[in-house]
Amino acid sequence: MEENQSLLDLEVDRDAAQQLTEMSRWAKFLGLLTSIGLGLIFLLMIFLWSRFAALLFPKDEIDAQNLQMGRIFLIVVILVIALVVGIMVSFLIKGANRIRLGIHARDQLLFNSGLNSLKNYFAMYGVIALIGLFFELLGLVTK
Amino acid sequence: MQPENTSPNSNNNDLFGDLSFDHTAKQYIRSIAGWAIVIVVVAVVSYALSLIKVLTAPEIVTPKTEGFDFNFTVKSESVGGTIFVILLGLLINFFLYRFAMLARTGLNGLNQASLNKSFNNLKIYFIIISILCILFFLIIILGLTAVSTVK
Repeated sequence: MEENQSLLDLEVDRDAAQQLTEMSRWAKFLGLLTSIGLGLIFLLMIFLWSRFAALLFPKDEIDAQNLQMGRIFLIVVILVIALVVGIMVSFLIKGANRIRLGIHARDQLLFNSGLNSLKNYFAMYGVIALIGLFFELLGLVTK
Repeated sequence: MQPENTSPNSNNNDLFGDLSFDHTAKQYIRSIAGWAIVIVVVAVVSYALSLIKVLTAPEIVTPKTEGFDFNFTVKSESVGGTIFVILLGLLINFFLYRFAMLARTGLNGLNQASLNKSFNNLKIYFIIISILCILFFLIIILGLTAVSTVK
């Protein structure tokens, strides 16, 4: 145990470098997977837009003005989700790439910059989780 | 003359010796661990709320139908499905929690082993999320294509 503890400072030793490299590989994979998956879902939604619109807003139940408003609202929601997820994924991929490159090039600034991007990803995730919880509580109270 | 520690599994740090967890890196890791704790707490509270919602959901009694002399009483929300999702969520968040705790222990106590273990937990967290993401996207895409074929 003692040999693993540094008296001076914590270093990116062989084990840490290996763990961080593998972690960044999986983080990058997750980022790419999320962007590809969401891209596919959005493409499918665009191609099948008429069917979804008919399914979500049946013409016999909603008048023309509300139908138009509903469609605009749905598009705005989809765009906001795409933007937020896009920013999160970009932080994750950027962080993962910089951490891996920083370790390989032994570049402290690049390594720190990668950790900063990963921090931004988790901060954004945390804020979204808090907002989600707020709305969940609001829904429970107003029920 | 024999070269020192040439095996790849040796504990020689000369390759990585000039890269360290300096003050800035430590601050970033602390911040990541802090947000990870926030995420875990929010997730656990959210699971508790879901459980309460499911357990207090009104029961739906189906009317007697021809050929059956009894009623069916079912919950309006699926208890089994919710518990499965909660267990899955707890498993994911357990690794995120372990990452946060070990990272804090490692940074506060200058414990290299704890810090290294924390990154291993973060890696497992990303692996599980990736696998679940693949399953989720497959289900969604299959669902979308199924909807598109419905006339």
